[in-house]
Amino acid sequence: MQFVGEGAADRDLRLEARSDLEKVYRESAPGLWRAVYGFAGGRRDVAEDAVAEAFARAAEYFDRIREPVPWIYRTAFRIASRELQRERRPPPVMPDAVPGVDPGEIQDVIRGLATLSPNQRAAVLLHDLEGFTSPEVGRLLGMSAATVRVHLFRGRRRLRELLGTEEDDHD
Amino acid sequence: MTERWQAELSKLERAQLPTDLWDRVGEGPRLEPLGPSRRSRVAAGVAAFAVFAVAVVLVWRVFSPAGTAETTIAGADVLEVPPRGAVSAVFLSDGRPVFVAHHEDGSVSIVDAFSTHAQYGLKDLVAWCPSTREFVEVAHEARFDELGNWTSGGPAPSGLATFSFDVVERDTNGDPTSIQVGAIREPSPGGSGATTDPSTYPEFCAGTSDPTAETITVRSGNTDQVGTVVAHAVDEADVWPTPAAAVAAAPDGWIAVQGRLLVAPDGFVELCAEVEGGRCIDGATIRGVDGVGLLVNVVVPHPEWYGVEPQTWIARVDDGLLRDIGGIWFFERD
Repeated sequence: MQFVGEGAADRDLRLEARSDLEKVYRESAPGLWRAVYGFAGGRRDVAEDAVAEAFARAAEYFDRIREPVPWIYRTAFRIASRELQRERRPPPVMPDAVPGVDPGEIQDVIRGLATLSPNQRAAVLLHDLEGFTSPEVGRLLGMSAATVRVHLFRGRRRLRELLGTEEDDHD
Repeated sequence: MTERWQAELSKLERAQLPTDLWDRVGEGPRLEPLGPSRRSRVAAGVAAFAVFAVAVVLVWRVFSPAGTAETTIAGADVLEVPPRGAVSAVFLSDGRPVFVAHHEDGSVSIVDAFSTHAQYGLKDLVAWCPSTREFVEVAHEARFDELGNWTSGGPAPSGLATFSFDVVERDTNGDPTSIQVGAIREPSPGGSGATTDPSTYPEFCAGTSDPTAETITVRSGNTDQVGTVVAHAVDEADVWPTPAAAVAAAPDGWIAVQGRLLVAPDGFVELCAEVEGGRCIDGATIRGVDGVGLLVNVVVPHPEWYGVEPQTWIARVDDGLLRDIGGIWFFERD
């Protein structure tokens, strides 16, 4: 990352901000990327665009953002949502390949997630995949914990209808 | 019992962040400057597109030194319905703020968040009081029932506009859980043309008995009482940093923009990123505001009302100007 056209003091502050942002990236980006990849219906390009763009914008505004992690999460989900809305493409039949998983293995859950509303999908992914509590998810998405619980309830119910329980597999 | 969907979901845990993504972050924002045109991937390598993109970036940087923001306030036309008895504050796809009210009898209303009262041409937003189950115009305390009909206080020339809708999805009880917004309807007749006596107003939105309500604390512009309401709050990422940048991009819909209102002695009104020595910096002219009335009755006697710091406003861009502007900065978060 380069910051040009600045004085020494500005540059010091920028370097400090960059270091802080790198720390946030190391700690948050893997989980955020996973969640946005699921949110985007297995669209790797959308997930990469959303996460990279959110951090890139955060770099520009870093000294003015009071809570970088929620800001970056909200921005990434909003960018992903808008990109999907703009393109209006149906989710791919097979999720895009990403390191660590076989697309065939996650095809069912990606298809199930695609049937949820964006808020339900984000709540389920952050709570049930990434392990955040409802208040934490609320903070990350800019909604109350009670609202998160409503989205979780409806989202899980829908996934249960679609994917069922282990017993369903053995029926 | 292990839920199969949970087991399926856990398979996503193994998905790994691409190692080169941090390098991409270092290149800075590179999605198109979120203007009205749709993103194009196919044309990325086409020379004509490259020339166009460079031009866009150059223009963008000239007009928006502070950075980028979403074009309009993020929203949708398919809305989730809150639980029975609850009211949610949401934005439509064009950024217009509305409320979705799920009444106790199971029926649903979509109620406009703009009061039909706009003093000096500045739009006033309403908020939902969970404690009294009514909408209240925060600036002047006109009150409306949960269907949007005017009930007391004011001034408010009529009730609130509502929207038609189609039900997309229902739950097992038959209650709508998801609705598609349709056309706006005329507000119901009846209202108070004149300012009523604030000393007769009831307590302003005191607390809430609804633990699921997503509330914030606001201050009434009329009686200075502090109340707890469900209201529209715009995410920081959706706020244009300067009026000049917003107007240059000409987004089609409702935007949130930061700025200070500057009223010249001749009634010329601008929204400015900053005001230095009476000069408007990175500003935009506002259409449809009675600048002289605002100056004489508000700005001169109450200079503190618009403060010295830029505030967040909601507006539309029209032919290089801002119009339909309203302040949402009196909504103070907890």
